[in-house]
Amino acid sequence: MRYLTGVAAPSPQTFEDVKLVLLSPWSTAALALCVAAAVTALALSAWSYRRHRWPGRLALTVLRALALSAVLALVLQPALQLRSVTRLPNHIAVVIDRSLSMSIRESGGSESRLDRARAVLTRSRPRVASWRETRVVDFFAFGAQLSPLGEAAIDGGTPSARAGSAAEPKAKRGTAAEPKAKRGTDTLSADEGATRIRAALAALRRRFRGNDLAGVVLLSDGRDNGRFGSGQLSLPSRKFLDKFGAPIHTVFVGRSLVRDVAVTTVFADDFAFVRNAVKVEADVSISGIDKPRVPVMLIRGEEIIARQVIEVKPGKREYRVRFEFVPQRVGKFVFTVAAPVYEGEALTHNNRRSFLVNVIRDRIRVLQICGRPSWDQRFLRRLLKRDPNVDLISFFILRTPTSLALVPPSELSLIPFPTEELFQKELGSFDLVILQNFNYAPYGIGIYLPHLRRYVERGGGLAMVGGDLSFTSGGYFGTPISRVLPLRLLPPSANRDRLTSSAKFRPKLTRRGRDHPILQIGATRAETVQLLKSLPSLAGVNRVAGLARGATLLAAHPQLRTASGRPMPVLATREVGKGRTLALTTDSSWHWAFKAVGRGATRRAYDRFWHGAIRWLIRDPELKYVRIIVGRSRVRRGAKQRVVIRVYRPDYSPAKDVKVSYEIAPPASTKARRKGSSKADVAVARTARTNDAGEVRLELTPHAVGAWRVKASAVVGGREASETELFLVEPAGPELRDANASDTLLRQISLATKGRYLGRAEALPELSFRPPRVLQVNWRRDIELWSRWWWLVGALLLLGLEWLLRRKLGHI
Amino acid sequence: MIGRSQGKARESLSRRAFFGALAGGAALLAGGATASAFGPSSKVRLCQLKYGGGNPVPRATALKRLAWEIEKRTSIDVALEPALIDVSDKALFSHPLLYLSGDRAFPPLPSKDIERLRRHLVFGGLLVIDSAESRLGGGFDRSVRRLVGRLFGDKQLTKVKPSHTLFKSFYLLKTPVGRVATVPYLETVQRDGRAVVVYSHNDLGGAWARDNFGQWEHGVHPGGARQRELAFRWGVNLVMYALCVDYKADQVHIPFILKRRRWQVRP
Repeated sequence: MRYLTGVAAPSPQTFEDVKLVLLSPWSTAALALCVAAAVTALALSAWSYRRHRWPGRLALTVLRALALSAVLALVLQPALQLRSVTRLPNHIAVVIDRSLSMSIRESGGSESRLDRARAVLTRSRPRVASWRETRVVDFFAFGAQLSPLGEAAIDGGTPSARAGSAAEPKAKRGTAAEPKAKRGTDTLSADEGATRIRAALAALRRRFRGNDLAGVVLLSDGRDNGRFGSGQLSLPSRKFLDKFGAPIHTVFVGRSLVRDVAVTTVFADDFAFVRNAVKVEADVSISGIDKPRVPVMLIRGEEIIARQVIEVKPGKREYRVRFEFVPQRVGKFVFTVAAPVYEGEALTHNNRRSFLVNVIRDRIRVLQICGRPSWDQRFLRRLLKRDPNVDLISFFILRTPTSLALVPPSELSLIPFPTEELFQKELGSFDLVILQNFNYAPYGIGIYLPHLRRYVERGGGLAMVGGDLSFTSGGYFGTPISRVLPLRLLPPSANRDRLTSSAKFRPKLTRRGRDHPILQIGATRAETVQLLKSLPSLAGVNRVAGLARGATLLAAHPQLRTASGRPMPVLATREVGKGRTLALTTDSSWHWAFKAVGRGATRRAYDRFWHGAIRWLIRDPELKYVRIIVGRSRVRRGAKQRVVIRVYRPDYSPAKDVKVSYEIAPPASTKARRKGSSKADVAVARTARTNDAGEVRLELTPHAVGAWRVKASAVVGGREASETELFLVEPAGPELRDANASDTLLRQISLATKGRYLGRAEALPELSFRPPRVLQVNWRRDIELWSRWWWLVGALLLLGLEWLLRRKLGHI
Repeated sequence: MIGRSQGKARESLSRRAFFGALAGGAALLAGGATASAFGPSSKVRLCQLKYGGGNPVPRATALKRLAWEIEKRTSIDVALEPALIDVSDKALFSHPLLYLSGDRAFPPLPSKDIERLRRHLVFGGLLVIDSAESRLGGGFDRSVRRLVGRLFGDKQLTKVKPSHTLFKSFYLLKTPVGRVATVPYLETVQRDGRAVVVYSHNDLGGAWARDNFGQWEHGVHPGGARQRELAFRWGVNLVMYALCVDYKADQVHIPFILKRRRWQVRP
């Protein structure tokens, strides 16, 4: 070869590149056909020599193969191509992790991971200089995204990376909101809220698409919280690395296990159904803790509602704990999964993670108990059964102890009244209990009445509907139930007329009744009043002593008076503890459903009345006059949050130009550290007036991590209505959830890209990179190998030798 | 005991009221659930439909006797005197349960009455048709089918399966019977998951009818007294169905509904 090139080239210094080429003018297909023909000829020859002994057979075959190769060369026309080329240096990218986790100092040392990365690069200066002889070395930093870095930044350092315990929130407060511009190319600080290695590599590839990337040197602690993750790579990630096109050499700047307990992830749904079990799972990372057990708690507000204990095993870091609890109230709540803080932990704020759960009703659970079948019961039951949002359980007393029993029980379809199950075991599972013309005494329910009272006080709804078995006629005077009803009952009397009235009447709306959501049976107040006048009259009421303290009278009898001369209540409501009660002293509300239809009207008034009553009794959020809508229930620290306060009039039209008082309060823990809080983290209490849409729109930028509370109140229909809403501010990123570094990912990246995993290298060794691409060919010369005289002589000699040998072996 | 509970109560009580309470309590204990409703309008009143032509009241005492039996056997507060109205009567919508009977053909109802009756049934009413004719294909049967056809369209009457709530709304029953037991099924028109028309062919009223001297007006064939008892049970079940609809069908779901709520006792 040296001879050939020496002969052909003008001088040894004038070419830098030699390669073998074929000069045949034939097409590739034709050449392939020739090669195939030669191979076939050789195979046939070898087959024809099969009768000979091995030495002769082998010699003949080799000679034939050489001869065929020589002939084939005449066809292929091989040549050596000598080229004089110009190459541009390609790029080596040195990429440094600048995420928050790089600020962690393991084992309380003075050196952070970022400091360690700086030290590696500082010690590698001679190596970098040697690379620069043939290549360009570029420096980058990345966190959530890639950014170029001036080399001076590696030496310069920044206060944030060097001062104090950089991992603590104190040092990081406000950094997420810090403008990017401040972090110019000449500063390097561990302040990014995320580590996204794949995004950084993808950005590198895009950046060098038109250029030549020789390779990458990546310095990181391996805590990726982007698409790679910290565990085994997924198939798409592996494909991404396979196609990266340049070796990635990795340096692991983490050290031994950090002393830390971290609640890294919480798996919980945003919504839960009240009184249905809710499952919450949490991943907890424990390292460097010398305790055999670590308790983990599920906390709602300040109350611990569940507790699990992790048995710490040597060599195991990741644990999963599972909680199960039953929310008993509807609303939005802040829950926290928390582990204790142990002395010397690298991070303390990652020991707890909060999340919001909006507890809603799946269906309204109603228990309807009737003392006897009646048309009033029948139409109310049909209404409840038609409503797909209602889960109804009805119990009707079909036969009393005084009814004739002419047949054996086996011929009756009656079932025992499951009093204990309903009034003791399962009472709390109902949102609403309707006692409709029901007298408790004959059925041994008296002992459960205290339960029913407590049920109401703790948030249940209770409606008592009139009839000859209701109120005083039902024996409720002086019972625990009478203390939660909206009405004061008359004492029992043998004179039925003292307790009931059978006269027909049209209930008279009170001032409060006109605006109350229960009686919003028309689209407007005027329509409601008109509608009530046109409805069929009712018949019969239970007489009562008057309204209970704190009760609201919605409708009264037009003629009857109480002993004190006030109108006899027909419909009244009351809030008792956390629950609500309603009293309707007539058993003829079904007239509004059926008799109204006979007059050509619809049963809309009846349906609206009862739906309104049920929704009010169960505190349906849709019936609130003030509502707060937050833009997102979870926002990142420093992100903008929008809050809309809507105020409605009693008829639920938007309340324009109404004064609204609102308060926005940061998490309670922030108040204790107000000195360090930004202005936006301080509670504000202001007033504003609603716009034409009945709204007050607010925007804020919260920084304090935790549950923020928005409270708004306005005077609607003469009464103050208020509402409270929560939203959660989360840390700017998932970066400090787990303090431990991991080299698993770095090893996989190097392996997949044919780079080297350098481990905890002190300095960069010699590394292999892709050679620079050829950019320009200055001159080229082809040296034909086949057109030499000795090539022809050699071919003829081989063919002659083969002929002689064949003759000697007996072939023609 | 009463005094103690009154002491806890918020209601202030005079001496007169206290004694009144004692008396009232005694009255309640004695009366129990038999205390009557607010007044006539609160009672469940059986209502027979009149129509022009034919024989709209073939068993004049039947409903009265049925009401009496219901009063004695169940907790329903029933008016012992049934109503007799025609479809155009203003009081039609005071009676969600209507009873129509006859033993011969009757002329078609006016269109206005048909519309009114349809509205009654669609919005919650129930029409029980009882054939005193005791056979299929007779004049009354043809008139009934014409009436139902005009109300809800042809082929709306279908045989009731034994799993229907009608068979278990109070008594557990197997085969429909009345004064006779010629047709072993009932027919109904179903709307929105409930029966709006129930058609019996076995002359239920004939089995129920009893004169003022306590004598049964008609013999019952072939089952005698047992069959008459079953006819009353059917009457009770029909009224109970009108009042409770599918309540009994719900009962089978209750254990499931209660069980599926995984909630522990709160109080």
